[in-house]
Amino acid sequence: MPTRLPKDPATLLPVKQSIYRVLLAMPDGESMHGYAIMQAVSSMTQGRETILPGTLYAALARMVDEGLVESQDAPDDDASGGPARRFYRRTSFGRAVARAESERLRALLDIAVAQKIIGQRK
Amino acid sequence: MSLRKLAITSYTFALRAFPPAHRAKYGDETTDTFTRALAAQQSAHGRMRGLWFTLAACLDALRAGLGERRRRRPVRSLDGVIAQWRISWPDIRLSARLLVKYPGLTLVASIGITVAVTICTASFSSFSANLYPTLPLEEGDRIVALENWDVRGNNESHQRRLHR
Repeated sequence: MPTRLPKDPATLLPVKQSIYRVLLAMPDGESMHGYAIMQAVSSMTQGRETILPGTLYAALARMVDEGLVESQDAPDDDASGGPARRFYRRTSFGRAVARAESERLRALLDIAVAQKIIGQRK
Repeated sequence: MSLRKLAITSYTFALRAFPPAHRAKYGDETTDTFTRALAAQQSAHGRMRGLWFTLAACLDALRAGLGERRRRRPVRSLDGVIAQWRISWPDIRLSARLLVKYPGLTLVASIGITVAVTICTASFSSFSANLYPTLPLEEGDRIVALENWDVRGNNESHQRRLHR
């Protein structure tokens, strides 16, 4: 149960890097457990970036508190073995925050392109 | 103890950096995720990579745990601190920086405070011992006056106060 739900995504900007990665790694409507999120972060960046369990669960705890993700118990057909684990799903507010953060970063990127620090992506 | 068990024990210990409420809710899940990731690293890259992964994960848990403790710490208003203690953290930080910046002044101030405290303590002890002496009797410090009476004449005019 989230403790607070800010209406405006801009109030959470800038988003911590770990939270932004987790938000990007979660597809719409799909529930994922912690290890799957770790793998998704690594695979979406072709292994350039990783997130370790301590940082991951600190980020997830904060995201649950802020209403960016919602947690639910493992489905009955979870045949992964091991102890029971929760699954996490990005909320619509989480998506809005990811969008707001992406736009903030794109604005910065546009400045870098204008100053020819980096070239235009082809 | 096998290397895998040692790694899990070390990681569980590192998780103690997290606040108890976080550990109660996410501790088992975090350890389970670490165990799965460790197994994947070891099977893909060998035991040495597993060792490095354990070390990195432990350091990461310590860092994230301390951050989580800071996040969950109740926020105290600066006004409340100033009202209660008449000081604030910026004051303390500024004082510490100035003491480091001017070591001569720090030394003189320290010696001055030491001498002042010594003089005050010595004079208080001296005045207390001379003005309010304790009688060499049992619970002498509770006796406030001693008087001598001329019993034969029962004459109060010969009353002598020996101690006040």
